[in-house]
Amino acid sequence: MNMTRMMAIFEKDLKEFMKNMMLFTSVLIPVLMAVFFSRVGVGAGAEGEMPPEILGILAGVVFSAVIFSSVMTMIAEENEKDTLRGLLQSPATIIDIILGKSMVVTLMTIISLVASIMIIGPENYWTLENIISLVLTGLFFLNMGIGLGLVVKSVATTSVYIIPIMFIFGFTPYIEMLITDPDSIAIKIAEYFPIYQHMFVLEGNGGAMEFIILAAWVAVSFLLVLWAFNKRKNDE
Amino acid sequence: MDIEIQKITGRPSEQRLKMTDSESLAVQIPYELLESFSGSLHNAGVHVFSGEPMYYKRLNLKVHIEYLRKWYNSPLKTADLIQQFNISDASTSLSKLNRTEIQKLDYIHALLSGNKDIVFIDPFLNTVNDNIHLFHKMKKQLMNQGKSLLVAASRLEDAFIAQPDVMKINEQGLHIVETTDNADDDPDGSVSKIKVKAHDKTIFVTIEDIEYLESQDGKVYLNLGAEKFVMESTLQSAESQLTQHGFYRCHRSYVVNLHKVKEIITWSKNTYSVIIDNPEKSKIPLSRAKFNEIQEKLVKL
Repeated sequence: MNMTRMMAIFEKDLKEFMKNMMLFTSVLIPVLMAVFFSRVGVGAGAEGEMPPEILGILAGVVFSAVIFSSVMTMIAEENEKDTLRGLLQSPATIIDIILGKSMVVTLMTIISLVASIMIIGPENYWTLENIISLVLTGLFFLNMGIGLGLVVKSVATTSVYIIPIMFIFGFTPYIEMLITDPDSIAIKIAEYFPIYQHMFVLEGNGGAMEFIILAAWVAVSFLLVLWAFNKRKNDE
Repeated sequence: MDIEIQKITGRPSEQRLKMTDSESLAVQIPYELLESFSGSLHNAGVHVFSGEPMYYKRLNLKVHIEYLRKWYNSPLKTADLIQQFNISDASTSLSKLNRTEIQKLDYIHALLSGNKDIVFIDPFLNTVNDNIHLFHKMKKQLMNQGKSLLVAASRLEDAFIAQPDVMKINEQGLHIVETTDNADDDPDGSVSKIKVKAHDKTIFVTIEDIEYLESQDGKVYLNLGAEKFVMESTLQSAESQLTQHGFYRCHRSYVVNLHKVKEIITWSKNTYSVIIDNPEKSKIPLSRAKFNEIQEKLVKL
């Protein structure tokens, strides 16, 4: 790991992020949704707490639209344009590049998440347990983005992955609207998904189990990254 | 850094192209072999510039230079590089710049690169003279940095733009491009046409139409604008036949029609080109020793 290279990539990609409308608007989507949710809440005359499903879905949108899709798009764009050709002199340099890019998307995710949550303004959101659950969920989405980004060949193919991942992992709580029977097997399975763990922690029902499940998701996503690395190395 | 010739030609050979610190090489490689040449450099630890765009179109030149400078941890300064390479517009995104302006970034990248061995593939295709001057500037600096430069060109004239001593790679292997002067054949007296072969036909070419003659692999090629013919003669005898028609041997392997010469360009202390007055503005190598003589001839013409 080389700090100067990481910072070079960080600075370059931060500038690119700001100039790429596709990436930049993704930061604004959760903020707009937060505005929308907070208006609807006022309109319906709902008093007090925002339901945790809404906060859970908001976090899901931030993670799938910002951290996941941005990092995947950024890596895919380098693949497509072959812009790293001269730079990849040793295998270690790709790690610098990925860490630099991860720093950019993490920064953007934090901005997007904090802005959205501040608009809704729930109480007891920034507890230590909840922040840990957010970090773990974010890590899961980041790993997914890196793993798939290393595999896809072009920016156009990323959209094939963005929509399913967004619906399955980002909007998981919406399953309760599709399937009303709370004993359904689908809901039982969905309750093991990362966003649900984050929601349980947010509701204050989080125990060690939720964190273990989240850690398992992070571990699985990390395996995806390792697999993608090896696949890429063999392709070259 | 050595490049094995057999990887390029696909034939067993012990020959190697040796890249030495602070030295530059120019090699002519026919178009058919260029691909296997760039293939042999893949993952070989050399930094290859093949002219394909490899930058970020949303960012401007200054950001690029700054980024590469930091990436390679180079002591060179961004502002100096912008000035040295005559970059007039450092703050417009690359998508709005033309090719020749972006090409400068390749030169700067080569200077910043952490790799000692730099390879340029066909750097003089579709370029402008200003950029060739900048290329020579870069070459000088690379040599001062102790780096090694290899220029691979598909056309022999282009290889001579890089430097006066040139090698070539063909199916048979690596050769040094040498003089082809076998002192034989007497001048044929006055002629107005010259006999050349094209496949099964024998064509008689009007001498005034000839732009220049070049000698490659012991054959003499006649260049007439878009066409190229093989001539059944040595360059020496062709020269003596054509001298009275205003032709001049400007280089070991080139004879140029002085009537077609538009200008002479000095790229560096010992690399010169004669520019032919045709749409492609063909660049013919000019030996250092002939630099003064050709000027006299052109004035008296």
